[in-house]
Amino acid sequence: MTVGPVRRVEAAAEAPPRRKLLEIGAVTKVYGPPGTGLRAVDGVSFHLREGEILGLVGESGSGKSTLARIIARLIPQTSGSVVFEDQDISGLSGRHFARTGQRRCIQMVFQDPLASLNPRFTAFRSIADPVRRLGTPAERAALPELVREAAHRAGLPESLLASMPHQLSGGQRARVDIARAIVLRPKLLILDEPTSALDASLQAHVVETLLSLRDASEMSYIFVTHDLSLVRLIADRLIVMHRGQLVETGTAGEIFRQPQHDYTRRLIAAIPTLGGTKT
Amino acid sequence: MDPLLQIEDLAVRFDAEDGPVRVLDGLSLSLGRGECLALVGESGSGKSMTGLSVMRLLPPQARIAAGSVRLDGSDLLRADERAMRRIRGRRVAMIFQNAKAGLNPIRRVGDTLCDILIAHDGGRLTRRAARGRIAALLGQIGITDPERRLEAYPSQLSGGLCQRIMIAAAFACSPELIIADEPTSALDVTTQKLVMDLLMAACRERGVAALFITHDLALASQYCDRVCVMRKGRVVEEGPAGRLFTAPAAAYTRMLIDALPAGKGTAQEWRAAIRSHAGMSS
Repeated sequence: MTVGPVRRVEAAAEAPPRRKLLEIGAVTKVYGPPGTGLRAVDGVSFHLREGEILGLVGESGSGKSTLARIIARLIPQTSGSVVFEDQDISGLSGRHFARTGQRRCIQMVFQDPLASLNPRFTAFRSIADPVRRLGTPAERAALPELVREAAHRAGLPESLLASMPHQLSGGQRARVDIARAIVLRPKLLILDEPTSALDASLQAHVVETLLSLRDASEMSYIFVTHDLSLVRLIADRLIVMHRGQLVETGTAGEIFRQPQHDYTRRLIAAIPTLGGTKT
Repeated sequence: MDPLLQIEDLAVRFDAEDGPVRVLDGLSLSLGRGECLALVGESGSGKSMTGLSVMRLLPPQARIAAGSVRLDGSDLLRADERAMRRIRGRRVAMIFQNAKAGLNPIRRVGDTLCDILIAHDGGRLTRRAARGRIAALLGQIGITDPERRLEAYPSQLSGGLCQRIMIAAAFACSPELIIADEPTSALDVTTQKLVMDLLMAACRERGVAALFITHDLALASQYCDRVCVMRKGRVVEEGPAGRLFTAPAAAYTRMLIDALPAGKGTAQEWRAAIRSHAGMSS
C-alpha cells in the first residue's frame, strides 16, 4: 500500500489515553473481480478511542462511505480487520453480526433520512424499531418510555412522534434518524454526511444536538463528511481519504495549519469563506 | 438603466387541504443586466419558488395570486404558454440541483442535448449542426474530449461532469438570464468550486445575468455582487454581498451567518452563537 505523508499524532495528551474502542487494520474493499476491480478502500488503518470524534473527510468516491459501511457491518470488507471492543468482528456477515450483542453498540445515521426511514412507519415506530429487534426483554417492556426519551435527547418534539416521514421537515427527519440511532445508547455512532442535505441553520442545530449528546453520554462518533469547515470545529482528529487511501491524519488544527498532502491542500482551498475573495 | 428582471409584490399560494399556504408573500426584487444576484434563505423560504415563478414552471397546486415578473419590461405572468416556450431556454435558462435527474437515463447525453437545442431553435437547426455546437460549447468550458462525453449515458458520468454539461446546455442558446437553483449542493467541495468558477466565468464573459439560488451563504458571498435574504416568502434584507455579510441589518441574516461554522475559532464559539438565536430558525 502506498500512503502519502501521514502525520502521527498519537496521544501526546496530558490525560491518560482512553481505551481503544475500534481498530481498523489494513481494510481493503474491492468492487468487482479481484485484481481488476475497483479498490474503493485500499489498506486503511486507524483507531478510535472511547468518547472521541473522528472526522473522516474526502470527496465523493474517496471511499469514506464504503469504509463507514464496512465498520457498521452493512457490507463485508475484501481483506483486513475490524476490531470493536477487543473483538474481531471482521469475519461476521451482517446477518451474523445482527445476532451479536455488539450490533446495538454500533449505529449509523445516514445522509438522507427520507431514504433511510421507512416511509410507512411513523416517527415513533422508526425509533422503536431497533428496540424491538435488538433490545433486551426489559427494554422492550419499557419501549414507549425509551422512544420518548430518545426523541427528547435528539431534540424531536413528542408531538411529532405520530407523524410519517413525509410530514416532517428535513431537520425533523434528521432528528428522527438520530433518535433511532441512539435509542439503544450505542457506543459508536457512524454519521454518514448527516447534515449535508440541510441548510446552515438546520445543520447547526443538528450538530449542536449531536455534540450535546456526546457531552452527556461519552459516545464515540465517526463523522463522515466532505465539509471541512464543519468537521474542523467538532472533530478531535481528522482522517483524510483520497482514492480509497488514507492520505493524512492529525488534529484539525494541525491539518489546517500545515496540510501535508497536496489533496488536503486542495480540499482546504476549495472551502468557500464568508467575505472570501470574489471569484 | 432599467433592470433586466423586476419582480414586484409577487404572491404565490399553494392550495392545501387545510387552506391556502403562502409560499411567496409580496416578494420584490430586481436584477440588472450582467449582474449576479444571490437568493439565500432556509429551506422553505421560497427561493426555488421564485425561480420557478420566473420560468412559469410552478407545480400544479401553486397559484399566482398577485404581482408581476417583468423581463426587459414585459410581464411574464401575462405571457401565453407559446410565448413562454420561446422565452425558456432562449432568453432565460435554468440549471437545477440534480443534473442527472434532468438527463434522460436511457439516452446518450449528446442526444438529449441536441433535442434541447433543436427545440429551442424552433426546429431549424440540423442534428449535426446542433451536435457540433454542443461539442464546441463543452470544449469552451473546459470539458476534455467532448465528443466522447456526448456518447456517454448519464450513469457513466460523475455528478460534477453532468452539472458542467448542463451548464454548457444552459448557455447553448445565449440567454440573457441564467437561474441556477442550488447547482452545486449535491457536489463535494472541490467539484463545487470547479463548477461555480466555471458558471460564473461563463456568465461574466458573455454578460449574462445570474439569479443564484442557494442556502450556502459563503458561496453567495464569494461569487455574487448582491444578495437577497429570504424568509417565509419575502425578502427580509437586500444589499451588496460585501456589506450584507459584514454588517447585516436584519437579525435573521445575523442568525444565518452565525449558524455557519466558517469563521468560528472553536466549537464553543460556534455553539454559543447557535444557542443565542434559539427559536429563530424557520
